[in-house]
Amino acid sequence: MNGRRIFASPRALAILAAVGVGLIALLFLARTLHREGYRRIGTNIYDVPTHAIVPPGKRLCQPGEWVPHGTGAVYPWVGGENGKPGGLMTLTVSAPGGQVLATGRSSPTFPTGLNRFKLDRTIDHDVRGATLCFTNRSHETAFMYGSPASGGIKPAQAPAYQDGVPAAIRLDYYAPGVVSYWSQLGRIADRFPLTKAGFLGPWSFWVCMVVLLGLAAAAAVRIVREAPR
Amino acid sequence: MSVAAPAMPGGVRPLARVRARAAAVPRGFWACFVIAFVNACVWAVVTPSFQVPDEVPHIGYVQYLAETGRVPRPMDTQAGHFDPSQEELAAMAGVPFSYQGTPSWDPQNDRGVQKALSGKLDRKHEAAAGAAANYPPLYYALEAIPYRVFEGGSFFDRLLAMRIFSALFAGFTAGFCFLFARELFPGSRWAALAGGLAVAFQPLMSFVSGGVNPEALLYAASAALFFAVARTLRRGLTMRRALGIGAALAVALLAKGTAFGFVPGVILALALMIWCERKQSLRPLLKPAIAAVALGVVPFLAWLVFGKIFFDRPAGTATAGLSATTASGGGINAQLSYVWQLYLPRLPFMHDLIAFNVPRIIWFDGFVGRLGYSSYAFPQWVNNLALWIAGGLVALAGVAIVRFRAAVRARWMEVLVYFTMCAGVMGAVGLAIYRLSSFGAPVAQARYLLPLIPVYAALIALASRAGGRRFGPAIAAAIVVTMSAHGFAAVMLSIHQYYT
Repeated sequence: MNGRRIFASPRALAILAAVGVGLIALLFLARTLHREGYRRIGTNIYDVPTHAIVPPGKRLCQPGEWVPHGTGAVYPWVGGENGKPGGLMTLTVSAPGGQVLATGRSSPTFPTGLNRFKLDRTIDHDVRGATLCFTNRSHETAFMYGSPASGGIKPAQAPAYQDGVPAAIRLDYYAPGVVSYWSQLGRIADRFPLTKAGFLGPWSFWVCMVVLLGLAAAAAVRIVREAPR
Repeated sequence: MSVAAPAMPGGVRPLARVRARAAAVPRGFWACFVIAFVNACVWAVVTPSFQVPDEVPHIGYVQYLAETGRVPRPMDTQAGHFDPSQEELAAMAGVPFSYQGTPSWDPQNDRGVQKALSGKLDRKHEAAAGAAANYPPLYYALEAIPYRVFEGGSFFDRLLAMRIFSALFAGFTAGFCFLFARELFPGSRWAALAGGLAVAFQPLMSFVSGGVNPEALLYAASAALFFAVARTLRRGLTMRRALGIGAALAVALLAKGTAFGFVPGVILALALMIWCERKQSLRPLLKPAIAAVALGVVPFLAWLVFGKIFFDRPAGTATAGLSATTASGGGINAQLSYVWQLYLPRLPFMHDLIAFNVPRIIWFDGFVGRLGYSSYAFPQWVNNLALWIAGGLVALAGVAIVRFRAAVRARWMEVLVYFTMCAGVMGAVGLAIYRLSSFGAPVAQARYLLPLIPVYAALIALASRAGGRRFGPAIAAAIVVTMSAHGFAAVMLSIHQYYT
């Protein structure tokens, strides 16, 4: 009887439709936020239009780096010559005074692109002015990609550069293990107001999320109220 | 001591009139307006500085206009060339600017930039307008208002103020889309509301309108134009309605030259109205028709003439026509063939000018959500899902057309007008793309077609009506919730792109 009444009422049907689709959307959201993966916690530059050349046995050092706390792996954009796979490389992360903070290594072979160098320990505090040195332990030349050094970005100390143009190497910093989006929300909120209007703070991220959910709810209520009873 | 102001009938009346006017606007308009405006404000805060397409030269244009009161002359208008003011350059240096757009997230860097921007930096730099210097000044003059209001704030404060002001245009876009759909389908408010709300949550429209970009004003004026034309076709041509058409067209043209594509459709609409009344005296109709065209086109033509005479400004980008010299080369046939292939499958007698599926990859996937400098998008499975949903909506719209085929047949003139307006804009956009692109690689983005977003609202409204009075509201509710989830997902995608 009640079911028949629901199907006779356009408004009840609209409520059912809105709630049903809304629940599916919320399930998708929850699933996405639960998904685990490696999460980037910092980066130095973004473009990789050029590269430095590291012959077998040689070393490249990138000075002046900000290594964020919680870094457990470093991802340089690296590969073999002209897009070929790269070979084994090792890494040391040093404080400005020269003290080695962590070491890491690549896989024995890897495709050209962002590649994971897992560190032997997690960096537990922000390190400014750190130096990251990569040594090519393979028998093939390695290309390490980045941007021409300009402004405040220091060039890498590399054996050679493409076209002789000094370049800074792109480095991404990652948390040591897999984490969910849920656990990253606080960090996202901290990053959110950077290089924006001065009055914005981490709170603005949470406000945006609440406002978006509120808008969706308001729109659903508004459309349902337009339906005839 | 406080003094109560005496009631001044002369002072109260205009306010009361404004209130009465606002109250006369359908509530659905305000619902769509507020939701679209707030949504675009969220985009304005979420998107990092300078990551809205071409925001650097657009900000440079506003800054020069606001600081000097003069429209910048075109100096270096090469796309992608930036020559910002000292202040804008300092801000750009702090926000690592790139097409990939990953900031460094270093709080110390942020403090350094904010400190640098608090110093005395030069703001008056005419070349900062870059490629935007060819654009008409209306949008930039409007954006100069929030710039001036927040003159004492930092560069980033002013940027946010400009973005939020621009978000108002998202509100008008959604509001006018609602009114357009309501004019088309007067019997079902829920259908029109679904159309307006779907526009309010559309990610690409919200993203662009939440940045400093004259297309925000173009979208709003285009939606107003569709509404004004629909209202006139439905209710008859009067001087007031004609002036509405003219004003919307003038604003669209003074926002971006692409709007020139609307002119044939508007002229057709006016001509058809006069033709319908040919058995009566034409005089009462000719006057408003001429007024509509004059108000719509004369300000833009004046801008072109003054620009040419006083600033040696070229006479248009998308408006340059078929005979323009192009980077791709080729004659009129090649240009027509190219424009065709941007939107439709190649015909047997045409050369293959574009190697990939532009309608799917550029227009559809881009509309679903290719954001930033076209630098990130939803994963392909989302685009595929969206294609299924779009297919469902088109099927529902088809059902509604069949159901109301008698009404559709009776309104063939309206359909012809909207088709001409769409074809005109698509043609203007297509020619501009042809002129700016190298062979085989079209410089095209879905946002170029967003002046046609009222058609999207009409499609949603039509699809909602397929269910009739009983199931129609449920379809409308499902669509609105789906579209709000789509908008939310696009914001999450941007957060993933820039902050993780």
